[in-house]
Amino acid sequence: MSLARKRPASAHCRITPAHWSQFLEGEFSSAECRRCETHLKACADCRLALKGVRQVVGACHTAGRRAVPVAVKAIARQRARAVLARRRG
Amino acid sequence: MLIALEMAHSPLNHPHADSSRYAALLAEIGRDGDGPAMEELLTDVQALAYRFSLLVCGNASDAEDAMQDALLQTYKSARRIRKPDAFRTWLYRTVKNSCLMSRRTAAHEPLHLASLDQDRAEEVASAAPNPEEQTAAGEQRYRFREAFRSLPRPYRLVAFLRDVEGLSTREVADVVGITEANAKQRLHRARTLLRKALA
Repeated sequence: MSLARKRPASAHCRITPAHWSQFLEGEFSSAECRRCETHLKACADCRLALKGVRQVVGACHTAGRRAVPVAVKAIARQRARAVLARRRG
Repeated sequence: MLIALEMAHSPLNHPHADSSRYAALLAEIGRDGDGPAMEELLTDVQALAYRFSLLVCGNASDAEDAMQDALLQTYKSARRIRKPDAFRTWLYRTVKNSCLMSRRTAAHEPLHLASLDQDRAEEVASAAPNPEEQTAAGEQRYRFREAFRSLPRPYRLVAFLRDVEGLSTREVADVVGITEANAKQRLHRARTLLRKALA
């Protein structure tokens, strides 16, 4: 990983959001994580990028999981009951 | 501006609850057979097939067939699987295949849906915002869904399995049939694209 030691914190930091996705996934060593954290303290761009990736993951978890309408859930349950009733009967 | 959603339950911070839920359901099915646990499991897998169709296949009209197939395949196999982790991987692979199969079938047999319960098929297939989605929270979900569906399919699939469903990257790689390194690469790319799409 090339990070804070090579790139100074600036208004135009070139570290990509994909890097912060890797950071969130725990793909970096503890030494690399420390460098990330040091860089984050100094770089507003990267703090924003990290926040953005976190929001995306959060949106997937909440909005994605709630994508099934109540009516569809009800249909699914009725069908499950119907299959089990047929097998029992 | 990114849509603001609560981060407290990010799958990065909290392992997904489905694994322990499936473990409990499978244990109960092992004891009771076709009892309430089987009903729960069969309901869950249909919801999963719906989410998959909606977010990955990008066409809710595929959901009808995928839900039916996931229901029947799971019913046939649930009692034979003892390890919940293996079950989870099997389940997602089954749903993926069901959804992709239903797309192929639909492409060659456009009247296939007519053979099913038509009212239900239409209800399941309706992807437009419904009254539930016309609230602020519903609108956010709708926006998310549209952004998610704008991702290229390989990225969508990986992001769905990891960030929506909470599978580990190892499980994602198993389900998709790619290396874990490749799964991670697709995941990071997908998040980057999704961030732009939601901006």
